Amino acid sequence: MTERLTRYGPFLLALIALVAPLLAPNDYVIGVLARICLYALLALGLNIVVGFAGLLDLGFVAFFGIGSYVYAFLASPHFGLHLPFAAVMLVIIFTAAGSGVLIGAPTLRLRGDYLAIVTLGFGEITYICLVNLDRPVNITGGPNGLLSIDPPSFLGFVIDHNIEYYYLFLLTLGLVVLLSRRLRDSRIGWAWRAIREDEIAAEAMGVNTTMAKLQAFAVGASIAGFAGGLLASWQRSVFPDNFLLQESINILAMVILGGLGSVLGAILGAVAIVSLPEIFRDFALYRLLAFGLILILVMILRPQGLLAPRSGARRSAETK
Amino acid sequence: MSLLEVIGLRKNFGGIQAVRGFDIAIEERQIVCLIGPNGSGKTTIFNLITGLIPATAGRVIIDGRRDIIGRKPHAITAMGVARTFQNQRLFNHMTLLENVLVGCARSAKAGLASILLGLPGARAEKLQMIERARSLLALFGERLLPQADDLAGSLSYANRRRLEIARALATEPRLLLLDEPAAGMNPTESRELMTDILRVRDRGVAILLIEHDMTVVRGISDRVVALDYGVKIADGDFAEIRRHPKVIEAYLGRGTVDA
Repeated sequence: MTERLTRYGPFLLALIALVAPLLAPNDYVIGVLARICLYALLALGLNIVVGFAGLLDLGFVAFFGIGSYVYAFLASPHFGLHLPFAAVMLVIIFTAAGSGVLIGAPTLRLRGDYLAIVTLGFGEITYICLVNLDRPVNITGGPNGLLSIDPPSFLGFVIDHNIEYYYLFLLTLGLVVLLSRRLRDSRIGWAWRAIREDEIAAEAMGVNTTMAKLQAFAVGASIAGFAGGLLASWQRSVFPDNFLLQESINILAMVILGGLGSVLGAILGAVAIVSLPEIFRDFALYRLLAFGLILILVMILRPQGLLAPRSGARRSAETK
Repeated sequence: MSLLEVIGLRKNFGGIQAVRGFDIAIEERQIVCLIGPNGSGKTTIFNLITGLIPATAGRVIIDGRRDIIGRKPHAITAMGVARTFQNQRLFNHMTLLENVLVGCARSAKAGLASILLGLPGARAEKLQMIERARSLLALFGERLLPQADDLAGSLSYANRRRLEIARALATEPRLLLLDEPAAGMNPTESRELMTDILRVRDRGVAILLIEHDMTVVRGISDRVVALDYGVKIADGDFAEIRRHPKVIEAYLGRGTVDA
């Protein structure tokens, strides 16, 4: 039964994801589905940093923010730039990867709790920069954010309905799942997991831990940056408050709830954490209480997360 | 020219002199045993040679020309020095195969981009690595290979030691440092380990091992080096060492050398 579930689960999930918006009762629900995809992207990005490489990053939302603002800079009336969507996203990938390396480099010697605190600081610094960089020169628009951002367009086809955004996000998600899996079962993924397991032994086995960690930061950050670009194009505006510490914690909760290091788990975590507060909307004030209780219950009943990373037997069969 | 030459190696931990001017030369395909009482500095010497801790003074030279002191551990591994750990540091939540693959990947060339794009070169390289990792597991007969896809954390004690050796060999070392490989093994397992070590030597790898089990020491070493309080007190073949008065006094105790 579990055997079948692990084999057909991903296809089933993909099928559900493809038809879900067609069955959705209204546009609001489609919007929630799109948000699930966006957060699943973030969870997959953080899963590389925390799940694969074991680097506890509490400021991950910073890269989400950087991606959003780069999009806003390059495709809005703010600087009068209206670059094509694909070009903007390409710039975002490299900017975010660069900032990942920039933030990663000074933290290389830090482990566990210490790394968490420093990354927390970086997340806060990014937020404060977004809020305050409207003076003396207006760069970020300050607390008012940036408005009238261009929607995504491909060869003249402009995306402007929730359902179109949903399929755009889903497509990206599928791609990132593929890339995550390729990385996990590559020399880079082995090195990441070796570092997570035992950094000293990894070094002794010839793993260049500096390089591997920077790669993890860069890849994770570019995925988050990409998601940020998508958010900006969807909201058609960006505000510093989209990138609060709470978001970093939420994304981390998705990764842990799903099972650290599990690609499918990160997605399920995103589904749970985005949808549960919506489902409990009827409980009004008790909504977050119910949400919190469910998180606690899941972690007590399944401390390893909803889906523990796949056992080796299946993985090796797949690498052959 | 020696494969490895250690000259005047020193290590102070605060006021404690853990290693006080240690010298050793190891030739190609030689098996050298490092013995000494607990706390005599054996593991510290391993940590210094592999770059895990910085030396206070001294030189460690490979091939008579490259000084590896001050280099990072992964760079030293790249020069052909691999090791196992006394307290076993396997990657427990990875499979046996993946543990070995971490070592195999040292020489891999595929970059981030070619892995992400799934280019044929990266794929072929990965298949080669998997092939090599399996052949390394096969070195230990039926002990490891049938469990290649199990998590390393599930292994028995002796098999964990074997996997550590396979993983170290994956980095293609010319010198392998084994830190108490027979610790916790029963006599049958120790005997098996000895043939395993000799087989590794026959692949062209020199071995420096720390060992307390005198049966193993006598059985496989070309040379024995005895250490006490961070100083080398004797260096020779097993027969010489067991008769050496300083060794008897410092390590084996008077009149108990029957091993």
